[in-house]
Amino acid sequence: MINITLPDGSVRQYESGVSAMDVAKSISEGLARKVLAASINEEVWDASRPIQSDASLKLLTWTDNDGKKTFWHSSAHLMAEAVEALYPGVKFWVGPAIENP
Amino acid sequence: MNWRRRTMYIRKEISKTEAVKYFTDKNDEYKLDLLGGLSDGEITFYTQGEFTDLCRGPHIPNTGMIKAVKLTNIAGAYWKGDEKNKQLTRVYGVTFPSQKELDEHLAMLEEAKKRDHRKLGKELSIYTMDDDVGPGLILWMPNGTIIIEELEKLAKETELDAGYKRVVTPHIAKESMYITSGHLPYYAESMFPPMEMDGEKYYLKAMNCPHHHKIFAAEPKSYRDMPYRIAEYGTCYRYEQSGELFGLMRVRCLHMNDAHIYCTKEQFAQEFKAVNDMYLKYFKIFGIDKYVMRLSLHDPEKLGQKYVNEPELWLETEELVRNVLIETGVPFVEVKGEGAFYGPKIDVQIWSAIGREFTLATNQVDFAQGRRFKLEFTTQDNTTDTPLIIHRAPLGTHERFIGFLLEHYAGKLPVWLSPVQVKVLPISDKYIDYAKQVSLKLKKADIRAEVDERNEKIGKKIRDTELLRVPYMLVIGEKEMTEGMVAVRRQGKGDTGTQTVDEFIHAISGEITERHDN
Repeated sequence: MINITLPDGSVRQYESGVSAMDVAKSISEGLARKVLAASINEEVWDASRPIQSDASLKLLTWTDNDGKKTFWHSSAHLMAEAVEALYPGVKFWVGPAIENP
Repeated sequence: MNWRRRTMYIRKEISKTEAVKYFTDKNDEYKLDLLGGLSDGEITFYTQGEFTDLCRGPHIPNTGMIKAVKLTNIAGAYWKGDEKNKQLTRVYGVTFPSQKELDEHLAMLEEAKKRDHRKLGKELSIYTMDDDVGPGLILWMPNGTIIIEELEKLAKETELDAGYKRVVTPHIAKESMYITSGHLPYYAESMFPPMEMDGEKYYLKAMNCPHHHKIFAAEPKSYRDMPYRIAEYGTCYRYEQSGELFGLMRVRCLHMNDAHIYCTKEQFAQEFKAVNDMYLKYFKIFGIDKYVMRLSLHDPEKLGQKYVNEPELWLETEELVRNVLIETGVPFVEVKGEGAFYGPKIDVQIWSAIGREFTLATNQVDFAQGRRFKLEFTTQDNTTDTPLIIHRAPLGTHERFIGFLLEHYAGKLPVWLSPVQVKVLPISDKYIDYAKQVSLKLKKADIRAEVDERNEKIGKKIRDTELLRVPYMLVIGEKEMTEGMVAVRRQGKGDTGTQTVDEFIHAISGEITERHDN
C-alpha cells in the first residue's frame, strides 16, 4: 500500500500502481468525469499513469491553469490528427499551447 | 472517418533506437531533429486514434472531453523562427469543454477588439509613438498626461496617509552600483547598453531599488526611523526585444508606482499587511473585483544556487506573508520554486471588466539587498541589524495600468480620470459667450471643461463628444441662458435634466473628489 496525500492534508491508502483517475473515482464519479490531469509531487502527470510510491496528489480540472494547459495541449494533438487525415504525409513541428492567439 | 468517436490518449515509453526508426520510416526530418537532443529513458510517444507523436505529455484522458473547437487563424512561420529556414504553416485554434464556454470566449475576444488600448489610445489622443523616437518609447499626449497626473495624485495621497515619504532619483547610475545590486551581470540583457563618460560606464536604470537603498544609507538610521518608507514614480528603461514590444503593455521606458519599505523583522507582518490593504483600496476604486495574489516560494533544494542561502529566513517570511494573505481573505495561490533570488515574491493578477487577465504588479520581500548594500540600523540594544526590504508597486507602471484601464472601462473613464470632464455645447453661435462663462466657472472649481465652439448642429456636437467619451455634456440654448441654467447629459445615459450651474458643480465635484467609479 502507498500513502496519497490530498491537497487538504488528508492521507489515503491505495495499492501501489493506482492512478490519479482511480483516486478521483474513489472520491466521486462526478469529479472523475472532470479530471483532465493530476499534479503528482508538484509535477503534472496523465491521470491514468500508475503511481508507484507515496506521493502528494492534486486532481486538475478546467479550473486549474495546468488543467487548461493540458486540455489545450491534447487539443493540439487532436488537430494534428485531423490535419494528417486531410493531408496524408504532412509533417509536424511542435505546437505548444499559447495564450490568446 | 467517424470524427465523433472518443479515443484515449495513450502514453508509451520508448527507446531512442525505436523512436528514430519510427520517424525515419515516416521520413520526418523534423521529429528526427527533436530526437537528436533526447536520450534513452526520457522519450515517450503519445497516441490517440490514428495519430502518434513524440511528446513529453501529459495529456487529458480522452478526445471526447474536447467538445467545442474553433479554428481562428492560419499563418506562415519559419522553422525554429529562423528566416533562413523553410516556412511551415501554423494553424491557430481554441478549444473548450463546452460550447457555452467557447461562445463566451469568442464574445470576449470580440469585445476586447473594440476595447483594444492601442485603438482607444489613438481615438482618444492618449499616447503616440514615433519612428524617430524609437520603438517601445511612449509619447504621452496631453490627455494621457492628465490621466497620469490623476493616478500620481491618488498614489501620493494614499502613500502620504500610509506614512511614506517621497524621493526623486536620477535616471542613470554607474556600473559599480549595479554590480553591488547584482543586476550586473545577471540582468544585463534587460538593460540598455552602457554609456562611457570620464572613463566610467553609466547605465540607464532598469529599476529604482538601488537608488532608494542609497538614500536609506545616506544618513545613519536607528530603530526609531523604522519602518522607513520611500516612494517615487520612477522612470525605468528596459531592453525588450523589438518583437516583444506591444502597445502600452510591453515598452522600453516605463513609469513605476515604486516604493521601498525598510523595516525590522518584528515590523514586517504589519508592513506587509498595510501594502496588501493598499492594493485592496485601489481595487475598490477601480472596480476590480477579480484578482489573485500568486505567492512564489523558494525550493529548499536550490538554496545557495537559485535562492539566497537563508533557510530559516525563507520559511519565516513565507509564513508571515501567507498569514497576512489568509488574514485579509485575499484569494491567493502558492507556487513552489518561483521565488526571486532574494525572497518570496507576490505577483498580482487582475481581470478586466471583460474577463481578460493582466499581471498588474509584483511585490517582493527582500532579505539580500540590504546586506549587499550594507544597509544598517541601530537596534534598541545598541547593536546593528540589516533591515528587511519590501518592494511594492500596487499601480504597476503607468503604461501597463493605463492600458488596462482603457480596456477595463472601454475608454469611458470615471469622471475623476477623464481628460475632459465636461464639454459645454452651445446650440448656436448666439450662446457661445454664455457657454464660455459656464466653462470658466467650472474651471475655477477645478473641473476640466471645454466649449465646443464649432459651427455644427447640436446633434453632431453631441455625437462627437460621446465618441470622445467625455462623461458630461452641458447643452446651452435660449432657455438655459435666460434662466442661468444648464441642460445636463451623462455619457451613456442621455438627458438627466436641467440644473443651475452651482448645483451641477456641487454634484460633479463630489463625484470627482470621492473618485466615484462609473
